[in-house]
Amino acid sequence: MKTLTRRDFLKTAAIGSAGLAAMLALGCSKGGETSGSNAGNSGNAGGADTAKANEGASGTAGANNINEAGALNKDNEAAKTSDIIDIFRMHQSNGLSSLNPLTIKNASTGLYYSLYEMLFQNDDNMGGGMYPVLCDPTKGSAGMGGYDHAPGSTEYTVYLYENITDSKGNHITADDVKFSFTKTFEAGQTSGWQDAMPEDIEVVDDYTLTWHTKRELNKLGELENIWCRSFIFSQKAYEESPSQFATDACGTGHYTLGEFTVDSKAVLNVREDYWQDLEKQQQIQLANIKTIEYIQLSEAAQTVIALENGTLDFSQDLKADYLGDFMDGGAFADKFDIYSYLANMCSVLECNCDEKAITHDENLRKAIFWAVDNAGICKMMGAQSMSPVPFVGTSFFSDYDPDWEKLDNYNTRTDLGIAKEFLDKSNYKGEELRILVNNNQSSLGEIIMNMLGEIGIKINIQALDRATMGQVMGDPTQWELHVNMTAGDYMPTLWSHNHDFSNTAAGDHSPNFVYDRTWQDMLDETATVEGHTKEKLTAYVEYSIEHAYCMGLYAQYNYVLYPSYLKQLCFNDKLYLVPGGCVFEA
Amino acid sequence: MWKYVTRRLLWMIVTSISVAILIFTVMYFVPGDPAQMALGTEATAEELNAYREMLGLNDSFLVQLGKYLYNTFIRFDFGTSYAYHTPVMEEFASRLPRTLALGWICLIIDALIGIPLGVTCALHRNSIWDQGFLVLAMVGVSIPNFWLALLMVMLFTNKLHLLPSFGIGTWKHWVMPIIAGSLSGVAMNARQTRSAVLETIRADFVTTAKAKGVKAHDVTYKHMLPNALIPIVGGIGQRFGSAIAGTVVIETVFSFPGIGTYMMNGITARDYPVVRSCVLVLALFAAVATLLTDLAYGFIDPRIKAQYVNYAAKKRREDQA
Repeated sequence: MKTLTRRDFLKTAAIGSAGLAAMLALGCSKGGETSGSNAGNSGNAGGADTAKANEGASGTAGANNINEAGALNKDNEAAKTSDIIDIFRMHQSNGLSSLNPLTIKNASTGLYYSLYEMLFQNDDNMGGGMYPVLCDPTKGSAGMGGYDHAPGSTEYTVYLYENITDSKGNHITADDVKFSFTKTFEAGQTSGWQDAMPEDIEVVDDYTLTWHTKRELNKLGELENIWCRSFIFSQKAYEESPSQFATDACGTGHYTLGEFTVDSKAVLNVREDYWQDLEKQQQIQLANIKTIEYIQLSEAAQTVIALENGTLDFSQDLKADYLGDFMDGGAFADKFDIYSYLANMCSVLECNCDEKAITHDENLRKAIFWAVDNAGICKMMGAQSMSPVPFVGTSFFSDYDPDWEKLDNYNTRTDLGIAKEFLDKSNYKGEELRILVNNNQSSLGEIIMNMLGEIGIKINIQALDRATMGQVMGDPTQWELHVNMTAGDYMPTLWSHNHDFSNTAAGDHSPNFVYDRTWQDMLDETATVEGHTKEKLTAYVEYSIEHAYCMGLYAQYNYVLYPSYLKQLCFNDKLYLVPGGCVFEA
Repeated sequence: MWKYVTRRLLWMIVTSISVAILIFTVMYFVPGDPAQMALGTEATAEELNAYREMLGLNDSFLVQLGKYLYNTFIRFDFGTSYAYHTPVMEEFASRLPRTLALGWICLIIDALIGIPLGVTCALHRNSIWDQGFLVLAMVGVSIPNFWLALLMVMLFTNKLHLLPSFGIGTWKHWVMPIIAGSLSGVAMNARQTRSAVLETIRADFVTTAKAKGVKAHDVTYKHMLPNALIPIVGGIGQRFGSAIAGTVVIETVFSFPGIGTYMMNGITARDYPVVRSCVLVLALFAAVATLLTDLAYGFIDPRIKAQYVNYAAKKRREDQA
């Protein structure tokens, strides 16, 4: 047998080192190929400072009120005559994992809206109608044009523009639209459509399709949920895509994908051959920027530094704690403005209402809710960035009723005396109640624990990640209290996300095990167009409070930090900035 | 010796399969539903079930395990990520070189700076340099690398405008991540080297070498250091194996798209193909690192190499007997 000598070993080591060096070179060059321009190239962003007083301090609406911004989604001459800027760098805390337009349901980035388009887009921020984007408004008499629907029928016919092309020059026809929707269904991204799912999509001719549904879609947002949530793309482009659009893109939008590094950066360049004439473009279709960069930075401190040194221009993912330098009196107040608005997502405290749970006792639930002070929670967790809510829902929604803030109940004030009265009436005998909170909300759990401790209720906090939380919540023996976050398009859809019986397998109770059919029927009624009245919404609120099924805790302010040369923000209905539609002053 | 290596490589295959089965089983029982994560809370039970069916999650444990082992070890197909919608192998191919490059550059710097520093301190023990170094080493080991990373960003990016603070691209993007990732390793290596050299400095063979008139440099690097290298090589080998997972904090702070963040995102999203593949690759790296460490031991210390060789010869004699 040959003995391994030192010389042999050195030869082997040399070969191994050469391999290592090759791999190092590959690693460095791979990064160089896929990465974009050097961060030092600030382009127009750094040079376009406009001396301007900071008028968008936290908590106050600046010049770009969100409702006005939503209204700007219509034809807007100011946006069409905006200055064109070379480059705009946007911050993303996450969301650049995939470009797949079929899976935007839980996406946290708006870049899809620059690459792809939908048949329609929601008008105004919430609660509005649909305006046509890929559909021709001169055809069809329903809504704002672009489609036909006879009241009472189960057919919805859309009419496409005849000159739509994507970034590779593919002509978009009705077959592509049907293909896009079919792929969306197959991707399983249609949760929430439920029985609004169409039975069939009929291609009538090259530019006309008819949706055949099981019933007339007369519930709030049902039609919008289908037509304003599905991107359209060419079947040919999709089938030719090496990654099925996960890492490449080909859409009808005004921008095309320049480069993409997963979890790092996406660069979009304006399309010179965009299919729609300027005078017919909606605001979200405009391209007032030549190059848009989306840069993913999960570390907030890094984001602030990048904004300060000019390598980022925009962020809507920063909390109030990080905005000191950009507010009035801050070092960068002259270069940035801040717009803040109460988000559509709010935090909810719920009790397990299963008959075997101790919190099935209504008196105990009322005791708990009267003892929890949602205003106190906001003060302790960050008064600048949070606001208590009078029920499940925020003033962000167009169907929110400010009169709910005047109702006298546990949502609008706290009273330990009343809490103790209900506790005395209840069957509580000192048991420890388990509260489920998200693993980044442990402090909230501690605050609630201390509040309930004031009246003698013992709490065990269980901080879980989102995936585990969903699993544990399904077992009524595993929890008594739960803090949830919920969002939606309208108040009924917001409530539905948390309370609808269809969210459970059995379909006869809510996710927090309320078996009250009356409650569900009231929710169903508020979700219809006819039932969506102030009276019925208020009746639902009062019924929920009367039976202590849930308690609204707080909503958070979102902060939009934008450069001073950006004069008018343009958001889509998901509250993502559509940068190309913004108005700039170079 | 080659038989020893071959035997270790064969055991590596067994280890890999065992790790694959173990991680599959663990992920199978971890609470959390990928379908719920993907479709959201308003998905109905039917929609969730259909999505699970599409992902193959409704099959029995043995069926899923069998498919997973077949795809992984026969077809070398790690599956498609639920969150990224791309084949896991493709993501590995783009991320692994970056993470390995980062990890191994840090490792090389740890060794190139840490070992000579440790030797110097040992030779000048109790001097002011030695005392100063001990303090610095304590600081270097104690400082969290993410804190150091942010400090460097504030200094080199914000104040001095010398280096970019995030992303990948030019060599400048690598400077701060490498410094942040290697500082604690330099300190640890230096301390370990100092301790090991101090143990050999009073050995008889060192005294003999000095008495024979061997030059001081040769005494240090040809006699003392090889005997002190065993624990040092062990430490480097361990860090070599964790070069992938150990950079996750650096990757997060510097927005460096590597394997560390890929794995963390996969765990949070219950992205089973990603988590299984990352753990398997980590295990393989650890096994390779252990093998290379053992071979390095044999190279450094002929007595250990003799054991490897003698073991084979002894086995052969027993078989013949």
